[in-house]
Amino acid sequence: MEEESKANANAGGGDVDEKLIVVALGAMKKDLNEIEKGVDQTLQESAVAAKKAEEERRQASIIGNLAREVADKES
Amino acid sequence: MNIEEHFFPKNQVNEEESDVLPEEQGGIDDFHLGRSPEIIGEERKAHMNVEDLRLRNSLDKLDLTLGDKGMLERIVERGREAFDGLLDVPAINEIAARFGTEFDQRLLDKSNERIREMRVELSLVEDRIKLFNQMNEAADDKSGMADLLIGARNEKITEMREKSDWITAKIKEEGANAKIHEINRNKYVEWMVKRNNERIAPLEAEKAKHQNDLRKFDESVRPLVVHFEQLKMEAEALEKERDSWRENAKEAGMKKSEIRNVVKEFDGKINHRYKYLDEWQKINLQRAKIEQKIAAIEVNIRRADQSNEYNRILENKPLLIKDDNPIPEDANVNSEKIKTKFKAGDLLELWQEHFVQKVDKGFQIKEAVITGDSGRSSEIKLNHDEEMSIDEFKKRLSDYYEKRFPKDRNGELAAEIRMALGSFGRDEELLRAQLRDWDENERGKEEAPKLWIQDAIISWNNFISKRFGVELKNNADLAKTVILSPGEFVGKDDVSQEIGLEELQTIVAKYYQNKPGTENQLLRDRLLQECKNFSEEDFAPRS
Repeated sequence: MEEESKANANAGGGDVDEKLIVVALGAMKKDLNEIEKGVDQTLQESAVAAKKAEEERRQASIIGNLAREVADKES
Repeated sequence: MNIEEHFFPKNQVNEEESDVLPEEQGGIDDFHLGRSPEIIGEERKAHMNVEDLRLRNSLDKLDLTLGDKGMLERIVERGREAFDGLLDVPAINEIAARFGTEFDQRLLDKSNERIREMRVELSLVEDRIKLFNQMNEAADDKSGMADLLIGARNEKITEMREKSDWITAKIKEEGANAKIHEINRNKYVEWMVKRNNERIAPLEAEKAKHQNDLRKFDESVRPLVVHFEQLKMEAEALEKERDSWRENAKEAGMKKSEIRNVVKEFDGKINHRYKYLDEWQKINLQRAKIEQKIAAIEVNIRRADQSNEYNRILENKPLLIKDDNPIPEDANVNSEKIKTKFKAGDLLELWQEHFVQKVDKGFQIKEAVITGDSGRSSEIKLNHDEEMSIDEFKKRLSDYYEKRFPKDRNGELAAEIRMALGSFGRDEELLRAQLRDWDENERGKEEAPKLWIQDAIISWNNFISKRFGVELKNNADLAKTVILSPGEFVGKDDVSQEIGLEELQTIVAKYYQNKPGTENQLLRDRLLQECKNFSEEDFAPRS
C-alpha cells in the first residue's frame, strides 16, 4: 500500500504530508487488527461463560427442587 | 483426589487399618471378613454407591434422574462432612454447592417459620398475662367474689408464665438451629461467589484491557484528525475549482478535448485525496465495530455474572436462581437494532453517567453535563416523560452540543462528545439492564417498614395504653378495646403475615366498627381519631 501511495502522491501532489498519512494509515490498521483479534477472543470466551451460567441457572431450579424435597424429609 | 475418596473418606470405609478402597484389597467379600453383618451391609451399600458413581464419569453427564436423586439423598445421609468434600471435586462441586445452598435454605426457612409461629403463640400468652394483670389491678373490690376471681387469675398467670418461659426457650433453641443452617448455607454460597469471581475477573480484566487499548489508539489518532480534515477540505476545494474552471473554459470557448484533459488532471488530484479519506473511513468503521464487540462482551459478562443472585441469598432476599427474569440470548453484534422507545428522562440519566465515564476528565465536564429538574431539561427542550428512541435522543443531544460547543472553538471537547455520543446506547439490552437495576434499587429504597402482625398489634396496644393512661384501667369499655389476639383481629389463617402502617390503621378502624364494647359512639369516634393519630413513630416492634 505504501508503494502505491507513494506513486499516487507523485502523480497527484498536494499540500498535506502524504508520507505521514500513508504511514499513519498503515500503523492504525495494524493496531486495530491487533486489538480486534484480542476482542474477538474475549468475546468468544465471554459467550461461553454466559452460556455456562445460563445452563447453571437452568440446573439450579432442578437441583433446588430436589434439595428442598430432601430437606423436607430431613426435618 | 477422586470422587470416591470424597464421597466415602477412607477412614469411613475402613476405620481400623486400611487406607485403600475395598476392591483394591482383593474383593469386597475378602475385605469384609471378620466384620459384623451390619458393618458389612453398610459398606457393601457404600461400595455399590461407588460402583454406581464410577459408571458416570462426571456429574455433567447426569440429568438428575431418579437415580441421581437417590444418590444425592445418600450423600446427605452419609453426613455433611462427606458432602462438603464434594466441593473439591471438579464437575460435581458446582452441583453440590447449589444443592447444599438450597438444602440449608429450606431448613433455615422452616426454622424461621417455626420461630414465627412460636412468637405468635408467645405474644398471645403475654397479652393474656398482661390483660389478667390489668383486670386484677382494675378490680376495686378485693373481697368476696372478686378475690376468688383474682386468685383464679393469678393461678392462670403462673401457668401462662411457665408456658411463656417454655416457648421462649424453644424459640432460642430454634434460633440456634436457624443460625447453623444459615452458616452452612452461607458456606456454600460463598464458595459459589468465589468460583463466580474466578470466572468473571479475567473477563473483566480482558475487557478493561481492550477498552484501554482502544483509548490509547484514540489518543494516538487524535493529532492526525487534523490532517484528514485538511485532506477533505483540499478535495472539496479542488472540486469547486475544477467546476468553476470548467464553466469559465466553456464560456471562453476552449476546445472540449483541452477541457477534458485539464479536468482529468483535477480529477486525478481529487481522487487521490478521496482514496486516503476512504481508508480513514474504513479505519473509523473498524473502530466502531470493535467498540460494539466490547459492548457485547459486557453484556455477556453480565449474563455470566451470578454474584447478584448469590448476594441476594446472603442478604436473605428471595432467591432468584429460579430465573424469573430470563436474560436474553447471545449479544449479537450484527443483530438488527430494535427501535425501542425509552423515557427521555431515563435516557438523560444514563447519558450523564456515560458522559462522565467517556469524556476526558480534563475538560470542564460540569459545563457540558445537561441538568434538568421538574421533569424537564430546558437546555435541550426535553420533557423527561417523553418517549423516544435512542437515535432520536442522540440527535437531540448532538444538535444541542454542536450549538453549545462549536467545532472551531471547542475542537477537542466537541470531538470527545461526538465519540461519547457515538458509543452511547449501541446496546439497547445493556441500557434496559441498567434501567432494571435502577428500578430494583428504587423499589428497595421506597419499601415502607412492615411488622409481623403480632408486633403491629402490640404497637397499637402500647399506643392506646399510652394515650388513655389510667383511664384504660378504670373504664371497663375502654379496657375492652385492647386487642387480645391476632386471630381475633385478622382471622385465624392470616396471623403470620406482615403489614404496614396504613394497613394496620385500616384494619384497626374496621375492627372497632364491629367490636362488641365499642357500641358507645363517643368512644368509637375517639378510637377512630386515635387511629388517625397513630404515626410511624408508634409503629414499632414491642419495647
